[in-house]
Amino acid sequence: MANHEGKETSVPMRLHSVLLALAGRIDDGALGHARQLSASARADEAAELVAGTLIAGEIPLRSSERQEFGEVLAASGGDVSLLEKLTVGEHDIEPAHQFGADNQPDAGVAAAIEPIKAALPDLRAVHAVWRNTAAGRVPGAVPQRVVLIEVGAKGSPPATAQRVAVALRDAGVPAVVEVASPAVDWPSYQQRALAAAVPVLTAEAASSAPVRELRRPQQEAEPAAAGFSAPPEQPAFAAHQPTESTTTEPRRTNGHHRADRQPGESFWPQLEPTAKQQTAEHVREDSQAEPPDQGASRVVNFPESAVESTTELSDADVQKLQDALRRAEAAERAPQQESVQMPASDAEAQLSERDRELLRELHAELAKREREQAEQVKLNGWHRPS
Amino acid sequence: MESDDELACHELLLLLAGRLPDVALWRFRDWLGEGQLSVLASTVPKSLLRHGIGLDQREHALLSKGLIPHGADFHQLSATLRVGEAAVPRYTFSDTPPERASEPDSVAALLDAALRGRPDVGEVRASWRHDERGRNPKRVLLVAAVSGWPRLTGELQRVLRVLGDDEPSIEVLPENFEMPDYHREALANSRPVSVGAVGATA
Repeated sequence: MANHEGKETSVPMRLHSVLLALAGRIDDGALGHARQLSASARADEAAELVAGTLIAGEIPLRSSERQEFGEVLAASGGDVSLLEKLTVGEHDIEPAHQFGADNQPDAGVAAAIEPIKAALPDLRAVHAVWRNTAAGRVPGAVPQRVVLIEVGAKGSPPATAQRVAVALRDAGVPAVVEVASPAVDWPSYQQRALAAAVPVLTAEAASSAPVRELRRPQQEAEPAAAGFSAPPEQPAFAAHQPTESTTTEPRRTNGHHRADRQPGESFWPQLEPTAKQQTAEHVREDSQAEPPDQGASRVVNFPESAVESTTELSDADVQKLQDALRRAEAAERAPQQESVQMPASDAEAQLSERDRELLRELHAELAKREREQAEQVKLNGWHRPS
Repeated sequence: MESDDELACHELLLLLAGRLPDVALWRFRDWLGEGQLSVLASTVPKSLLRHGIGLDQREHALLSKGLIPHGADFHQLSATLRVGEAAVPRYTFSDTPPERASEPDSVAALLDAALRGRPDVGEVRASWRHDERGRNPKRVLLVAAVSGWPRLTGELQRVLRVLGDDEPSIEVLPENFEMPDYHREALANSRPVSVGAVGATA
């Protein structure tokens, strides 16, 4: 359960990795309570709770997991005598869970997270899914909503998990919250969940250039998610490679094989017509690119989405802007100053007052378009009744 | 048949109802139902100390009887003994579920189906607990039984959790159990749910 780089990590982070690996194997109550305790600097209690849950449920750990958990329990100050009672095995460790996205697992999630986003640094993506199968020896009700969050290197997985879980609970949207980061890979349980999940928040905008770099070619923009150095075998993180389409269509973290719906998804007997319609829309989204306004019907971008939409100008838009600047410069400057190949910042520095006025008008037009698009997002996603 | 140690633990966990947080109490009762006394010996005394819950002589005797044979730390146990009165949360109880008195109670119906005529089970009643501000209503199930208390508690907890009660309050009361005010008030404000094979009265 060490991170994929084999680095030494703190006890809370190691415990976080342990809990990620135990998701779906112990009951969600133990998982959530242990995360709460860990986030409250009570890692010893959290580790003892996990130990007791494993022992009472005779839930086996792999020998490597037993080793790591033992070290975490000892490092946290927990009672290491509990380790003697743990069951170790190598087979039938992972329960076969079924995940499904019918009936809006994302309903209310974005609205619940919105007030606390300022306290969630480096938030990259949020997905939601229903787990239709019971977890652990003392399971809670099914289906269970699972919210999967990916944070960047500046984010804290334990703190994010706890903060979002509390926000969701207080909003009446109970969920199990799983959080991964560049230092903590998604185990197979979360990968399977992600494959069936729907996006709630996406970080498309994080990879886009800010407005002042509009004239720089799009592909030169430094992707904000570049530090997310997921190994190739980690499809969950691989999805953050921001080299794909620049459409506002939500990027499927795991490819989203919607056609491969699990049999358990037929669990929902009372699928409402609106939910069915939205589900059908999602199936179409996977099979073909949708216009941004339709893609945003269930997805809310981070605040940077305004920047994203600005920087996602078409080639024609960029060309139009460059032509306008050329014309302005040609009217007042010597031919040798017309170069449009110079760095954007140099060009700006040499603009005349008329150029600047033209630029301001262009920016005003772009800002208007941003507002219109943001309004469209509001109407279709963020303030959707849950 | 449970041991005297298990029965002592069961009675202690009954006496801690409404004092130890529900999230910890139901878990300890679950572990007891699985006979994991050594796990309880490692965790219950610490939990009491962390939550600042002092035990009176009766409770302390039950803790010692139940958990010292299973490795509980003597010093931790000693630190749990309280002198004087305890500050007990003031709950109120009601025999009707909040805001849905006229709606069908599917949980009660399921419990009745599962427990009606069941051996070793007597009367089963339900009450709704409210906190000091009259909020956060929570179902408290009172079950009279003549044996198998820890295991029956664990079984009913599992049922209620699947039905959506994440931290179920199941009070399986042995015969001649000297009830604290918590259970007396709950019983005084309860409604019948089912009757087992035993003619016991909760």
